[in-house]
Amino acid sequence: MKIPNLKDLNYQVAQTPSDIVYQEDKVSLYHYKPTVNNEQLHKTPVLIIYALINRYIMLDLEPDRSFIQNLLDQGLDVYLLDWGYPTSADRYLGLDDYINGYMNNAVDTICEHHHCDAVNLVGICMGGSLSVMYTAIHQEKVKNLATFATPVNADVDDAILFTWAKSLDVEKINAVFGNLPGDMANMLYLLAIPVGTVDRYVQFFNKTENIEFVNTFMRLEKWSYDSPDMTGEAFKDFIGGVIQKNLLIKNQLEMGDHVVNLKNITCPLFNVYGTYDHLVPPASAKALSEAVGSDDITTHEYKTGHIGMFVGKWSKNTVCPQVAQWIKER
Amino acid sequence: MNNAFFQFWSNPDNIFKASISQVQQFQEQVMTGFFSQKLNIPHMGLMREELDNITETVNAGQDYMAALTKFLQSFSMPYAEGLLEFVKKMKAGQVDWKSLDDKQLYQMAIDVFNQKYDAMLKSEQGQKAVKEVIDQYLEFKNKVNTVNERVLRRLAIPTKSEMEDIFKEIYTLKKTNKQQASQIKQLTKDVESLKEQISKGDTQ
Repeated sequence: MKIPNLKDLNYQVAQTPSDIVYQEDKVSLYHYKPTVNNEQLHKTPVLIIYALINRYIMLDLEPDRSFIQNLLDQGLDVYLLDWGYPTSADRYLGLDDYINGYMNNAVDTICEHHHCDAVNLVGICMGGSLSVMYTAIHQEKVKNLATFATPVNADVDDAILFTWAKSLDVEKINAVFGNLPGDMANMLYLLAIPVGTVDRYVQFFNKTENIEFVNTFMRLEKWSYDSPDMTGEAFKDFIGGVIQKNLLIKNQLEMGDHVVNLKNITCPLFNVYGTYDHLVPPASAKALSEAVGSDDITTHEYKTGHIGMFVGKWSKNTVCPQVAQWIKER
Repeated sequence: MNNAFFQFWSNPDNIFKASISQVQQFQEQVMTGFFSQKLNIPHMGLMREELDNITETVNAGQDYMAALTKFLQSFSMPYAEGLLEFVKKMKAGQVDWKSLDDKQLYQMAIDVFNQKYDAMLKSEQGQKAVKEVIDQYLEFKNKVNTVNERVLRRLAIPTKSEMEDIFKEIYTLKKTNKQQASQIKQLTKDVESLKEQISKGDTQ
């Protein structure tokens, strides 16, 4: 085994240039610098919503493997909402605060900046569920909705994480920790694929002479273990409501003064999921296409896993051009 | 004799019982025996309720360790089963081993282990083991929190539950503040629009 020279290591993440255009509490809205000229830039901006667990850096892992960079190169004007790291003081922030508060304010800020009435919403993983809920409540502010590996239906077979989540005592976890510790959630992810987790390190030690591989590996490690806590109330709303009671697909999820009804989603929908996704099984994400009230639905099943959709050549050559093309056509 | 020894120690319940007995012995000998009788300090200066809390915490810690041991025990089974299956395949001559290189062999092993672990984690027993570890860990942390709360209260330091009341207050205040700010913003817009209408009316 060859040990790489530490001087050659560069595992910086999230390097795509951006400005913070809005901040509220611990939440920041990034506007990425477009890589095409104004004429080529698509007029309606894109807002990316990532999950409350793990950080958005997976979408901007490294220059050659950046979902965000690829969307910029396709001529889209990209914004991203970074949820930050919640602390004990944030434990009472629920999904209502995230969706009708932070997300809605971010959309308003973008609309004000671009003098438009609606944005293109791109939701990733749990961020997809949040985007679905937002669109169902504020349909007039969403022009197109694209969801990637989005859990919607929790009553599906073959979903080990859903099964574990259903057996969790949410009230007790909140009473003991306040917020769901990110490390605890991470442990469950790793436990769901024990062989894969060990194999990852075997592969690493086999390829240590390849500095590019080591850098990418280190970046992925950084993302894997950089797990912010999820606020107690949001954990209760999501795990209790969406996973344990499966209220989202039943159109019974209550959020502030609203009841989330998926039939209210009438804008075009681009629903994407991975065949080998062990975190969000295809059946869970697929259900969205049948539940919304939209007439314009595009569903894609990619032969990849959860991360493969956002990192690597597959993402650059297939996923990003397809979603960009779909947005531009509408 | 060796067999009986291993049978005893391979059962997590026995390990748990033995550990509890050790803790009880320690409490009797050191806490009660030394502090109470020899030094004449009842329970090391701790109130009976505090002592009970500490004992409950230690017990919960032991329960957690027992659940973890049980889980690790069941977690090691797919590995053992996978190895056996691998060896069986070799012996049965199902695969032409000589034609496979190291990487192919490794991948074959990975596939076998993946299958075994997937089946174990999705089985009722596997799910029960995971749930038990989490539940016992929560119970243990809950007891630790209770002890900490009492200590902090004695030292006049704000406790977790007291801080949570403050956090809730701050959250409510912030939310009200944001709602009012949004209302003010809307009202300002309305006033501006009314002013515009008035000025238009004046010019007409």
